[in-house]
Amino acid sequence: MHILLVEDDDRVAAALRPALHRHGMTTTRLSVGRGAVDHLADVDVVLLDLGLPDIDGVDVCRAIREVSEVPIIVVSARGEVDDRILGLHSGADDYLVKPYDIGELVARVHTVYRRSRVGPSATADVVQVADVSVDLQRHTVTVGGEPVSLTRKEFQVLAMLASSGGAVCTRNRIVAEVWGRTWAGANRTLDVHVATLRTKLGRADLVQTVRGVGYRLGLPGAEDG
Amino acid sequence: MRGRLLLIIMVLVGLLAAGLGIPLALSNAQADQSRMFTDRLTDTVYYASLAERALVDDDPTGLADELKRYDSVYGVAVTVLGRDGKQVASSRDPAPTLDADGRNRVALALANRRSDPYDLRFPWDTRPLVLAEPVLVDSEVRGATVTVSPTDDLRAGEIKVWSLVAAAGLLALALAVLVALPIVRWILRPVRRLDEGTGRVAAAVLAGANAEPVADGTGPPELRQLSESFDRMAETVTQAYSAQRTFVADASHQLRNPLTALRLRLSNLDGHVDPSGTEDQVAALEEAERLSTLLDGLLALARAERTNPLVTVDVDAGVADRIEAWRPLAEHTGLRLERTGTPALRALGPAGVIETVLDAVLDNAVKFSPPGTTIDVDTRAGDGHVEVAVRDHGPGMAPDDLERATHRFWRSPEQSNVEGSGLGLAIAARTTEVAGGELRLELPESGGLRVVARLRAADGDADRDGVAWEQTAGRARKSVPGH
Repeated sequence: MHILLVEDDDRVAAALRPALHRHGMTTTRLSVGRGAVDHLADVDVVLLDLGLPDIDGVDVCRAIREVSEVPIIVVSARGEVDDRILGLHSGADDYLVKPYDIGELVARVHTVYRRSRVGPSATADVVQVADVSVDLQRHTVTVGGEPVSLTRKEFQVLAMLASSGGAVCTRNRIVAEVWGRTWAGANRTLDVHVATLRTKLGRADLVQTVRGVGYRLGLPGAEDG
Repeated sequence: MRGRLLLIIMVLVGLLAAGLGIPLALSNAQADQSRMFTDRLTDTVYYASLAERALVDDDPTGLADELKRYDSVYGVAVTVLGRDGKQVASSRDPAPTLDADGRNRVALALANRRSDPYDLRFPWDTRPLVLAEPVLVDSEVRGATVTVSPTDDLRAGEIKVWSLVAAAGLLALALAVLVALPIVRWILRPVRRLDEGTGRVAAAVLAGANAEPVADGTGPPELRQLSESFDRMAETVTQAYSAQRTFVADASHQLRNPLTALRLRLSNLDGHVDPSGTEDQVAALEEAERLSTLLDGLLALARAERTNPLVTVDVDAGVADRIEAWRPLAEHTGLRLERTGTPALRALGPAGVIETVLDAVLDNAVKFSPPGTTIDVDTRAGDGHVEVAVRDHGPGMAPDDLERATHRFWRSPEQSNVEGSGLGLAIAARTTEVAGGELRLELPESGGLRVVARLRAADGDADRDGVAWEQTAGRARKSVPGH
């Protein structure tokens, strides 16, 4: 997978490139926004910093979107809701706030890449892990054929992990997608939901904790992420 | 100040009017009175000489007729007394009785001495004017003539003149007010503008905008100078405050890049660290995460200190949303989260103010309350305000700490190692203050802590309470420029 990294901070780029390489990706780095559209050949995902020295990253994002359907993940030091909305409206596929975790970044790169290749509705309606079956359409869960009653949020957390296919979902991402916003007790609330999920499903190792990062579904034979 | 300036001018004009008017009125009265005195004296002397004959002849009949005629024309009672003080003839029957002063004058006349002219008689003094003259026959006192003149006409004249003088004085005062008002206004215009300007500057400083200048080139030179100095000061304060605020935001943004690089570098060590060092690596990653949380807190604080437009917020929606969000965590730690008080309230504040405040306050309440206790979220209205209160049954805090607890980075000494940025209450306090409210911490008698966010009620609720707060509301609207 080839990544175009548009990042003005040399030290961030220097730290990020080996990390991406270790996850089997190749990178091209640009330190300015001007000319980004000329480097899109063979690029699978664009990582775009919004705080560029020459032009606003949002404009770069629009310019890329005009000429290409390549997935764009906006990476920014500005994490306010308005900034996120602006980023997503200008054509970005995802938005990540600095400082981010490399695991989360890689997971998101994979997600947008997969989505761009197979289209948005490719996720299976039912995810089956051992004897646990998660029906994403009908919002039902069965364990060994027996239905399990989950609250809406509990189901949403499980559904998100299930549709990620064993990849790590970071805490920030789960909170943002399930609760829509983050707050002081968000991480602890997520932990509570996961604990309840484990109890209700009766499968303690189904939802696995990735320390310091987040959670993932313990698929049989899934690679370590 | 306007009242005082007017008062000073009025007092000066009043003193002037009194200084001119009172001597005028008094001298006029004095002149009238001495004219009357002289007039009566002439008459009295005339009747004294007329009485000589009657006394010598001891035949008062003709004299009495003369006196009666005089009395019927002028209304002045004339009595002639003998040397022994007995009445010889009188224009009236019985003769008017005399008071002590009158009798004294008669006694002086019988002793062939003149009585003094009267001192000034005030209009309310109803005593008649009594004159007594000796009747001399060959330089020997043979009796006395007494005239008793009523002073009604004299006093009526006096009152008329005095009223005129008083009216002239009042007219002068009224004219003085008419002339002084524009002058006072002119002097005070810069002061009034300064007063209005202070409010505007406070609002502008909060909003980070430049305040409209106060100086408009009118008023006395000294005050004009003051206005200009005020404008310069307001500009400096605005710039300083805005610089301080943007510094927090800028610094937080600038720290994100190094922090990102740090986290990436630490992650890159994965698999290259000696197993004995793994714990340190994970801890270092957690420290980086902590720094990141602190940055988020600082940015949230910088946001809270920025004036956002005030909107009408639905208290119920915010409270319900946050109770819903915190309930799983609260129930997990064995806490009950309850909602009490008045429903359907609307408050004035930046969008999301209820959520921001409740997040900060509930965070502490859930962290510090012992299992099995209740956290109560109460809303009520009153006095043009809406109060959202969170009451827990945790350890509370030392009374001395109540004030400090809303300061940035304050942590209870006993809880200094509990996770958190120490910014939660500061953010909640700034958010309510910027909305024109306040965050108050209370220690209920039955233990625990009660945190009350007091916000201004939106129009509808104020009407319902029957509280006149139109003025505050108007000011609030004015203080938030469309930004």
